[in-house]
Amino acid sequence: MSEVIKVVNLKKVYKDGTKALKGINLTIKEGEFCGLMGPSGSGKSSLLHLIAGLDRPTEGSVWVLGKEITSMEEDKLAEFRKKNIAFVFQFYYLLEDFSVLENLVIIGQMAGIKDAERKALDILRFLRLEDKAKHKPSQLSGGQMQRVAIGRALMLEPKILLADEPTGNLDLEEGTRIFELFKHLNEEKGITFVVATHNTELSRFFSRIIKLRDGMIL
Amino acid sequence: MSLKTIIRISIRYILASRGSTLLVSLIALLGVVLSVCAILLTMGVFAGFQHALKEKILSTSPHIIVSITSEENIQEYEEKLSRIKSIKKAYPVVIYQGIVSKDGSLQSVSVKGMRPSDLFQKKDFFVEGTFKGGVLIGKGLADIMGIRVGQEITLVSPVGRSTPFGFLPKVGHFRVDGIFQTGTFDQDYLTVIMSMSLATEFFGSQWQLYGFEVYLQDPYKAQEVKDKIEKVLGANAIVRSWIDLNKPLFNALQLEKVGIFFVLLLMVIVASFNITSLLFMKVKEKTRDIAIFRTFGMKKKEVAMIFLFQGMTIGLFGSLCGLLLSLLGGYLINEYKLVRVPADVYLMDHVPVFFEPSDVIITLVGAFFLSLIASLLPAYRASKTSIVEILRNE
Repeated sequence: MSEVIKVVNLKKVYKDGTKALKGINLTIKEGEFCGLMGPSGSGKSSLLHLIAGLDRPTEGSVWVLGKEITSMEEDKLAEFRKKNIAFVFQFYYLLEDFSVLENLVIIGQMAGIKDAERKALDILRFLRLEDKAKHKPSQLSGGQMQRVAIGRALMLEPKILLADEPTGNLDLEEGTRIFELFKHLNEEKGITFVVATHNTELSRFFSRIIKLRDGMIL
Repeated sequence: MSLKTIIRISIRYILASRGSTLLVSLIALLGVVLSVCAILLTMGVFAGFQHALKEKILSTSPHIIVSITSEENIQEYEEKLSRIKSIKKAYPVVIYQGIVSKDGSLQSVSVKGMRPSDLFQKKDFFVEGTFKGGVLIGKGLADIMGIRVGQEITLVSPVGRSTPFGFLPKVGHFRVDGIFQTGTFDQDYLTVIMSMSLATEFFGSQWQLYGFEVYLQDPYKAQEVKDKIEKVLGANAIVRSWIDLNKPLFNALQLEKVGIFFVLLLMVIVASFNITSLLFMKVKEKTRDIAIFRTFGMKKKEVAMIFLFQGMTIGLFGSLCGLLLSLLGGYLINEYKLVRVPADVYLMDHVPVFFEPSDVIITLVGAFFLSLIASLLPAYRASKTSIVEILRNE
């Protein structure tokens, strides 16, 4: 299996002086279902943001699918992200002014998918949310919102899916359902997953666990 | 990413406004609507006044004045002019300078001599009386000097004669047959008309202008016809069109109109400040959405365009609503003659509204352009929003 993510001596110090990452070295292979585990403030989110190219490291480099993204120009990086990486957040971050279907369609249109609406409906059907297509995100439960966020990520047909505490706002039962969905997508579609969580009860799903503390891998 | 998607997001953001954002959106829109309407109506009144004045001048004053410099037979020139197709009628005239005296008051005037047959043709021209071989005076002159039809006035020619007692001006007494009104100050206040033969007999050959008053089929082709007349009559004629003669008046009106336009444009600038504040509010309100768009690969310029389009949409929609409102206002002003003015001063009892296409285009483009400028800063701010800072602050 080929390397899809390679992190070399990654350090991140925020403007306020917070040292989030203190020299991370990491390699993730294609098709892995990888868990980033650690307490709050251990650097899980910072590492995911850097892997996704949402932020620039203070030092070190990130390679995704063989390309060094840390030195990539912003618009090229946005284009690269659109083609390869999708992100799922703890707080879902759905577009409140748009319906569930539109949340997916807009992302599909952004990615240049021709029949974005049909694809969005297919994904909603797969996620068992087709009856919620016309609903606004505020009319959904937490679990449903997270499934819509996953659906939105799937619109991009990503090779890598990064999830930052995707079950952080859900109860265990709903969280387990989300992880089962991730696992299914990982096995069926071959998507590489890197999921940050501090929920140890869900660790059984991971094929590999990376433990972080104080910005370093244990 | 397609432009359609960007426009779709922009429109939704406008329509989905709630609470204070909705209020500020409406204020911004209303600002553009009212300022565009105010500009268009003001420009419309100015243009309407100019048009009405032009029509008034053209209907009562000669379209071209030909001044003959040599004293050849005037009939020969008249014949040459009659061959120019665009000319409806050319009246031979001779103009002298003189002084009107009545009951001790004096007024310097131009005395115009015309053929009686030509004077009989000018029926609409008379306010009172008609030509019977005496003199005709303008309504303004009659009013200020208190002259009535049938009364006698004294005309004094500055070209008098030398006597052993010194220079003596020539004095004559003439009966006022009629009072006319043309709508132009020069003619109504400063002109006396009499038959050409009587004028030349009284004033002699010391005329100020000897030539023709020319009326055209289409007065707006005056410059073109002027060129033709110059060609036909050659160096013997000085030709001036109504455009040349009234240039200072229309230039002054145009200058005033341009000045007012720029003053009123300040209203649009102030209205566009509302768009700026609204968009700053929107950017703040939508920072999370911006973070999502950027995470899913939207480029910075595309984020900026979402907010630019919102400003442009408000500008465009506001401008079009302003146009509709001004059209309605213009209709009401014309229908009910709402802008009333003293008829004796302005030659019209009301000012009509006339929308010049160029005024409308300049105003709409200007308002739209200012809305675009007003949106630039918030749009730039949106594009510079850091994804991670937003995500970390959540």
